[in-house]
Amino acid sequence: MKSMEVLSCTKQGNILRVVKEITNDDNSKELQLHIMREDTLEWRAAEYDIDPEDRDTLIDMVIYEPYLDPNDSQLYSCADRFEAKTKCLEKIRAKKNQLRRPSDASIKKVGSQRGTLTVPEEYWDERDPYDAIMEESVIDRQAIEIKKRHVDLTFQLRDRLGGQSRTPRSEELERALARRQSRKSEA
Amino acid sequence: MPRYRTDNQDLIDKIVDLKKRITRLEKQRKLGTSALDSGAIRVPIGGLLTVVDDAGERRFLIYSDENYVPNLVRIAVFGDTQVTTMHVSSSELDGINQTYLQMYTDVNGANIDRGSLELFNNGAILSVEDSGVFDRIHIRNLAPYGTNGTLYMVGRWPDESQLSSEDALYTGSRSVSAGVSSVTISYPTTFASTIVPIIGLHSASGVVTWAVTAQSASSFTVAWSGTTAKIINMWNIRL
Repeated sequence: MKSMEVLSCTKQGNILRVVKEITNDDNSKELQLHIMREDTLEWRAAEYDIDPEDRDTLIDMVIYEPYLDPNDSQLYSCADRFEAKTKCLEKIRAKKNQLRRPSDASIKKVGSQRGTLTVPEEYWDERDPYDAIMEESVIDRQAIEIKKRHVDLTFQLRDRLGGQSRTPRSEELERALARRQSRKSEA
Repeated sequence: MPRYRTDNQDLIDKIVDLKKRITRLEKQRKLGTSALDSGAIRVPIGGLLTVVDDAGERRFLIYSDENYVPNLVRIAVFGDTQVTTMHVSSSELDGINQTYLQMYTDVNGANIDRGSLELFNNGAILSVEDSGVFDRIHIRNLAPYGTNGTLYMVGRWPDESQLSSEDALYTGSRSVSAGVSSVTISYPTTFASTIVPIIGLHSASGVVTWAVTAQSASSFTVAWSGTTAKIINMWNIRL
């Protein structure tokens, strides 16, 4: 992918539908639909400790997240959400710079359309897409604090289990099985 | 030698005292046909153990009801407007052993909500009734719903709903109108570990070339040839 531009955002029910124009490496263009639930920004604010007033950072986090290397965007591979904020936002900004569409006077601005391709009427909205994403999202500071607690608990659970999928009970079972095996060997 | 004997008045006093105590006992609440026997409280079938508050209102009671289900014990807790009852029973019928645990809430005699766990020697049922509507999950061998190892479920999966990063599944169906050639779906919250998109692409216009082109704990992308309308059906599993 050579570049990406956000063209429009509409809402249907509790789902936000963001249309992006993708320029591929061979300069062909296509439209991509990015779907997210209305509280996705709330969750990202909690997960990465982003101030909900920092509109662009918050929206960039969601918009550019799908283009990161999956290993780079693993929230729970970080020590906590504070490390995640530092590590992941740095990569988001780098990706945004990489995919920024160069200024091109030839891109048509016919009527209310923004990009080269025509956005389907169902997905078109005249508002600035970042304004629309912010206005259509549900963002509540109290909810963010609650979600932060969930994120922190998930980090603690991961640490308590040693980053593995086993439960403490299964560790006891393995020790018991090991003792049994040991006794069998001795017999 | 003096002759030691009980004074008549002492004896009379003792008899009077004994009579008073017997009278007091007769007026007090009795065990009736129940008994305290070697530390055990024995209550006959149909009997009750009731706990009351200072105002004499029932707070909870334990009783057996063999007329309903053999070996059934009910524990009922009385709230201000509702009664929450738990049934516990163990029985054997036609070679099938069953332990039955059911909890239901009765609000002023209506709108019964019920959760049940029925355990058999050859199967189990976990079920929920919400205002009379059943959603049951059957597990393993339980006639007439299958044979050994059969997993039978009744109910619906949520449509793009996520409660937490620990959810095991992310399910749903999303329509995409004509004009786009790919869709990215962001999960509301980042999953705590790898979640694998299992996707079905519904293309009403005919066969297309398509693939999942990106996946992570926070989103996935499906792309296809052409730009006709599609339906993305998802059954994503967390590993």
